[in-house]
Amino acid sequence: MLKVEGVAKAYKKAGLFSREREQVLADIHFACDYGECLGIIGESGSGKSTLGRLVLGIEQPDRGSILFEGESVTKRRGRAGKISAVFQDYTSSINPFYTVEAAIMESLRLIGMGGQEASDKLDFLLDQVGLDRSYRQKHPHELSGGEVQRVCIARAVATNPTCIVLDEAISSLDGSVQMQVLQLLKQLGQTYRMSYLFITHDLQAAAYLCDRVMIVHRGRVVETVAVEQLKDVQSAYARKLLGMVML
Amino acid sequence: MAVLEVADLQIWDSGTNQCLVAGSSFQVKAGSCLAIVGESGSGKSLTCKAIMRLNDSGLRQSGEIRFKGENLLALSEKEMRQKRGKQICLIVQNGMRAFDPSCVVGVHLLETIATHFDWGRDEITTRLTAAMESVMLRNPREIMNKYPHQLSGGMLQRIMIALALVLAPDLIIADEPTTALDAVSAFEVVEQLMALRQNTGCAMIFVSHDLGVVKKIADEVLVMKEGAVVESGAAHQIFSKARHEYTRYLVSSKLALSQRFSQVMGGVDVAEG
Repeated sequence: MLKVEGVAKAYKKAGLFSREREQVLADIHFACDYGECLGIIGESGSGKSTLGRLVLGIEQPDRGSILFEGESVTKRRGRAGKISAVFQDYTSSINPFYTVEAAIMESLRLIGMGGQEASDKLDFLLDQVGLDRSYRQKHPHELSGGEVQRVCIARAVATNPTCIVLDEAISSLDGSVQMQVLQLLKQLGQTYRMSYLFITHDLQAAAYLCDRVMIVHRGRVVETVAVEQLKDVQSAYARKLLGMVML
Repeated sequence: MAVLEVADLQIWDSGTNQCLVAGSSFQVKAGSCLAIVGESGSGKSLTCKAIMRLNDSGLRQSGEIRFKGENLLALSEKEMRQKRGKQICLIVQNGMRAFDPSCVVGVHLLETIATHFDWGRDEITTRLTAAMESVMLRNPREIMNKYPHQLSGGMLQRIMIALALVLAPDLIIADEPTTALDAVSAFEVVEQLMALRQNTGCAMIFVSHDLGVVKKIADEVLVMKEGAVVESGAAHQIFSKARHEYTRYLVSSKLALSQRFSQVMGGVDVAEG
């Protein structure tokens, strides 16, 4: 479904006249199948979020290709409604002037839904992410972090996407709320048969949700391994990461 | 002996009369580490700031906070300033906001130390360099000449720990020091905090919502919910046989998260407890 081949990305270093470029990603290859959950693990600055933005088509790679169902993600028509995203910073994810209803309605309109049908779908979606009808008229600042993240998930699921990119979607949440959102994601993944690109630095959360994990370090893929084989990782960096998990 | 005794601490908003922390009492024993856990909005940070007397003027507090037998609430602002940093250190969540953005970190560090000790510039630099090296910061001189925005969150947090190492306070309050960090930096910061306790023998209040970290570092745990203390006790007791339902809920959701990971990892050693 998703195929990333030989992707590289560099940014200009800070400074007005700076000509130096910093290589953020180099030679990334991976594929993600229908219904699969692939975890992308790395520390801050490893380039994992850049990779997420490239997959979403928000930015373009310097080299290489990213194909979604055989078509390049840079073409909007090919991916419209099929790839969604949930980001880490829930405070800036929803337009502060929008109500919950308006925010979700925006993505329903994208797939050409309107009127009573859209209204019913909206109730159904809210119910699915564990919120009730009373939330429709609320603004994002009236909600807690976990609730906003649920709205973002509902909005992402609204278009029946094939794939959702979750960029540190649970990292800003409290421990117990993290668990609730993870359970929700797991259950939605099973109902909709969606694939997830779960970008995180938290190996425990990745082990909980993912089928496979890809470990990224300094813009390169260090190792890709099925979650069941996590303990047999070969590379020194991956072993170090595993040793640093605080149970 | 208790370094810090908090008795019936109440914090309320003077504008709306809303009660934010309702009568919490606890003690921190000399050389031990008390962890305060709870979800956002449970009053953890307010409690920490109340001890430092750093809450906004709109917030009122009553009760008694005794630090080594002295009531902090009765001190004048000037006396309190001398306690902050020298005897009680606060490490906040966001390292970027803890440093002065308009000057290099070295200036900030020198200034802080010069306020509390009458050492010469050379002596301060030597001590700082040694402290920074001990928290695994390479090239201390180069780091001291950088602005906060040029350093990563994990590095800033470790610089704060190095500063605490030099000041050698009796009590360190660490308010969510690892929450803004990724797993690798969080692990390193926790290791350094543990080493700091070992080296200086100071007591610590460690605020976090991550029970994994708490299990690693704490001797005693205080569970807060909606401004009230729900349960307190020794760390192993909280993790194995919690009495309160809310504590059990927190522990069980932590377990549910780590269970799959532990199961996958099987017999391989992972950093535990």
